[in-house]
Amino acid sequence: MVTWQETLHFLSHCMPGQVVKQLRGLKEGELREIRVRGGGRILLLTAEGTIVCPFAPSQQQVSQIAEALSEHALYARAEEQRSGFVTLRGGHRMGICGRVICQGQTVRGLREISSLCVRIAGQWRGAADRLMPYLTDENGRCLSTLIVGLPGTGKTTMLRDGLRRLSEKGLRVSVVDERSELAAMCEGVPQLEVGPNTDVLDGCCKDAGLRWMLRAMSPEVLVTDELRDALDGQAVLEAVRSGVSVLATAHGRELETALCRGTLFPLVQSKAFDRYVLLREGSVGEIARVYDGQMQPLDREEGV
Amino acid sequence: MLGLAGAIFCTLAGAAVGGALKERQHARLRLLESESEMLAQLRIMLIEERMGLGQLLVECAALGGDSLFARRLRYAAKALDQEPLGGLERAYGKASDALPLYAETREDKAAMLHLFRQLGNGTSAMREQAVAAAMRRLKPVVEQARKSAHTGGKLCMQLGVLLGLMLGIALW
Repeated sequence: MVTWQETLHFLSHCMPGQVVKQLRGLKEGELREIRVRGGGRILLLTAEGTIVCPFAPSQQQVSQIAEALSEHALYARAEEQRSGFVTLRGGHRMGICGRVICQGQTVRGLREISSLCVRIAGQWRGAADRLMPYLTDENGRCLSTLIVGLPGTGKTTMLRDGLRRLSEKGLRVSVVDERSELAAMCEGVPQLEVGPNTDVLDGCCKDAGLRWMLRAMSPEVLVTDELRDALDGQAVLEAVRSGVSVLATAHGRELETALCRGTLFPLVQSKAFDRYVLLREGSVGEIARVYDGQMQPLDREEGV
Repeated sequence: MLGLAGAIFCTLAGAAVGGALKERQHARLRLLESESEMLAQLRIMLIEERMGLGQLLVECAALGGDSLFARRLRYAAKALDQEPLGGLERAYGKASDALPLYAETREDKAAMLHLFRQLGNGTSAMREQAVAAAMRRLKPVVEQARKSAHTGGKLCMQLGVLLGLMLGIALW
């Protein structure tokens, strides 16, 4: 498992000295994001507030930091770059901005990286505590669940902790980790805790990966992050129809609007999910409300 | 007696100088061949393996065994790991300074530095093209070095012996 010391060591290698000094003053779990802008200051967003580092990188330095963070493998990850972010060692996510090279409506690549947003992945044991009662039925079978929330509300962290708990209960869990954010595999070993009964397919696109795991690993629970397009939705539907429970996440502020999207609407229509979990906006890892497969709220509104 | 000894010494010294010149040409050929092989491997790995540059250098160096160029690549990978913000060009420059190859000419060194500058920037296709261009440039150089090693090497040896012998006779 990735410790704060390892994360600090990794970041210290890739950041200018003035930033490293500030990073060393932080405790485990404090750092949430690092924002780097060409011509602006480097900001460290922590649980307590924002730290402004006394260093203003040039555009070239922003590019160098991005290269260093990606272990000089940005060139090989053009596909990921085109979707706006790259996953780093340890499961951290680096969002990138710069000059986009387009051909017609297609993004071909990114040059002159001007801004970075590094979101620090955290192993938050207990993130799924409030989710667990909704995740299994009275027979211990996992219920297919979709976690919906805005970026930064802790969807992935909650999903990771939930799958770990299910795996520890003895369920066979298969994870399709397209962007290496759930398990942060490194040389075949997960760097984040995903439980003892979990198999991880790393770096594979979701639609092919879900089918692969279904055929190869006979899972009881299939897990994947961020359903994006119709192909992902189709693969989830196939898995659910095969009798396997699916845990997934999707972006959205409100459940109704999120589920009306083309990707998710067929899943709702087919009643693929037994539970919908909406995360509270503006907080991390807090459940706003849980709905059943008929979109009826379960229990009272959480935290109210 | 002393004159005879002097003549023998001069002949041997001439032969040694000729041998050293021949060995230098062979060493240069070995270096260029090793660079060629590893660049071909690097090109394939850039396209197929899609790994970080540091790891890429280590993997390529592993194929080069204990050759001098392989050692330099390993050194560059280590330097890049220790100072990732410096970039590949700087890491290779450090390796180049720390592990000088006596058979390497100034032009060979400059060409490699230029390649590693390009290798640290741009898209996958641009980097692959940079390696391909370096290989194209290297091919005639290797051929020339091979010819020099065969004919020039022999010539150096013979000239060394001949000059040594002439000097020896003159002294005697």
